[in-house]
Amino acid sequence: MIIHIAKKEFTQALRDNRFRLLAIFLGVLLAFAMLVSWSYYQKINEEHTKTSKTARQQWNTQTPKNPHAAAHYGTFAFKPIQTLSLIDNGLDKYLGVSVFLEGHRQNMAEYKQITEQNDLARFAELTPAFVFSYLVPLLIILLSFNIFTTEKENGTLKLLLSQGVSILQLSLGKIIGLWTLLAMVLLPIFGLGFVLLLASSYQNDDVLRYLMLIFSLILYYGIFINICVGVSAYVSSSNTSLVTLLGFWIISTLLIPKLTTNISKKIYPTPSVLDYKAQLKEDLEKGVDGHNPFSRRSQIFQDSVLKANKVDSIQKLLFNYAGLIMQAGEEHETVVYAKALKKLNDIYFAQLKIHEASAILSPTILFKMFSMQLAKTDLATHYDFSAQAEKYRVALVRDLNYDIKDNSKNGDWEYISKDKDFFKKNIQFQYKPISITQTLQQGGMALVYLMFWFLGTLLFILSIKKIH
Amino acid sequence: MLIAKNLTKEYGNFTALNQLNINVEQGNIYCLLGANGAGKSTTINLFLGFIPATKGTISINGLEVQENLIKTKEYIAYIPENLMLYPHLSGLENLEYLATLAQKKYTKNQLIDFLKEAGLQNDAHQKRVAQYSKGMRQKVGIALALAKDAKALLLDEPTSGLDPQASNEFSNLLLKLKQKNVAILMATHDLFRAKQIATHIGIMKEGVLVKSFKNEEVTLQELENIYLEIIN
Repeated sequence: MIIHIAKKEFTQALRDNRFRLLAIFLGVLLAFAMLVSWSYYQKINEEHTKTSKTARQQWNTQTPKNPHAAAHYGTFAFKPIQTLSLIDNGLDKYLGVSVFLEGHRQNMAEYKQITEQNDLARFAELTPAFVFSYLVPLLIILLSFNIFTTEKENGTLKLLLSQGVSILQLSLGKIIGLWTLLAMVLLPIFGLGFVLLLASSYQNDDVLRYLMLIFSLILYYGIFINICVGVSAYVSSSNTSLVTLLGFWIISTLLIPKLTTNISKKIYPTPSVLDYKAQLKEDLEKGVDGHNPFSRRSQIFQDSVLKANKVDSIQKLLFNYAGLIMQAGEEHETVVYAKALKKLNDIYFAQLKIHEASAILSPTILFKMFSMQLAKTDLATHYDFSAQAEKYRVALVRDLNYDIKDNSKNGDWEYISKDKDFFKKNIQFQYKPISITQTLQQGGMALVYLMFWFLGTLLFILSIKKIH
Repeated sequence: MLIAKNLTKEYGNFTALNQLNINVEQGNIYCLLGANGAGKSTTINLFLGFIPATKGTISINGLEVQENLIKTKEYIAYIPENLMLYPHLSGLENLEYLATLAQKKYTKNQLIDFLKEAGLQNDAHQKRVAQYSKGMRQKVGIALALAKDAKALLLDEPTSGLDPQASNEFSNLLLKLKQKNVAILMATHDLFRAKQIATHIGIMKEGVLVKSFKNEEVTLQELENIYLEIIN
């Protein structure tokens, strides 16, 4: 019986011009967004590969120079574009794609593509994720706000109930009917996404991530379908149903995300760039400065080195003291930068926690969070990249400083490595992407909350004993 | 078949139906007459189980309605004042859908036969219901009653808004169903149709069944006089 109800809902909607128009419009929009996103991904991926190669080549073939001068010369670490960013580019455009690695300082990622756009432009960016998370729920609302109210208004509901159909059977039939209609629009798009994924340089777990993304979309749309059917059963008129559901859409997709962003910034204010730099400068001055051996702290360090090596002057050391003090300065700076960035990141994560907590009120935030985590375009992935880049920077600069310390003599400021391939032999940056297990550890709760939302709204449907 | 005993329905302090007693046997047509708000539609809704009674009992084919909400629906067919079907489906598809929900499986040809028996012209069977007149939709309702093999038919102002010809056709269809031993309870304003087809007539006012008699006991004129006397 449920299948017959679903079949009738499907046939009826297919013959309705409004559905046909909406479905075609949304299908074309999604396909367009996906193709545009894919072409953008291809372009960035090519640029990334090319630029990474060029940067490494520049490092390898730099003119022979003192290793510490090379540390100042610096190099770049590039964040690889993730294949699933063709579905959800998340925060990629806001967080920067490359980090300049140099001695003495930890730089933040640069080349953010969106720095000047306002909130509206950010909201309206046409990506598959935007259409999936904002417009498809709107289609569901437009398709189903009157799924029960029209039956009430036309009197067909009484006719149905007089056939001995239960309200639960009716509700489930209508839900399956809506799912069939939605599947008709979305399955070709999911197929297209899969083809584009295979046509990209995907990693092993990307297919699994894509399937999980589809699963989370099913939960997300299930929530909207359940709510629409439930509301339409509870209220008496189509107008009230439409206003209620649009209100929910606005609150869930626009109001709560915006409100929590503002609240989180109010509770955990982000320091200004000036404050951040002033604090950094103050902390840097508290430690060894590798370029100033005459500072008080450098003198203390020098005394401790001489004492440890049982000599009375740096000339008597068996290694080049300049390399050691520069590395000591480097290590102090690394700690200072790490502390400052941790403080900043802690603020961002505290803000994010409030955002995450509010997600319990908004399935849209939950889906967006999980989708970004699956696509590896979220804040945590970016910090993982920054952390790996910093680890690499520290190791590279240490190798350079130790080369001076171990292979040159005191006072030999013009030291150049005898090995012609010295720079070529320096370690290379290889970003190790976050595994699916890590993603689920970090973002699994969003999926669990989505499941709770789905089950909660299903219980809402099951609780309908009477149609008002 | 359709029995109400001391049936009362109250909405807060308002009594919509007060101590109603009726018994519609198979092969009988019971017409409930009365002005708007007299309690006719409330009676129909109570038989359909859409609302629970405040006091009294109501049964269909011996089964208490509220205790057997699904089971009692097997015995009845219902035609409201303005039978609205699904406009994007044809008459045949509407009938097939509703009959299937009533757990009745028929071939297309059998369904067409029901539509024909209900008097729906052949060229209308495959047309979308959006193009149907009210009379045509009512015929689909009758076809559904036939398809369900309903033992009782509940009608709520079925002829209101029908032209005389369509109304007459509809009355003839009800007489056919009466001959098939169907118990019919019809709420109506139409004294002429009631006199034409009823076996029993009841006149209601403000939730009370004021007068009840057999059709043959009164002429149309007498019926009109009694009705006006009660209503005024």
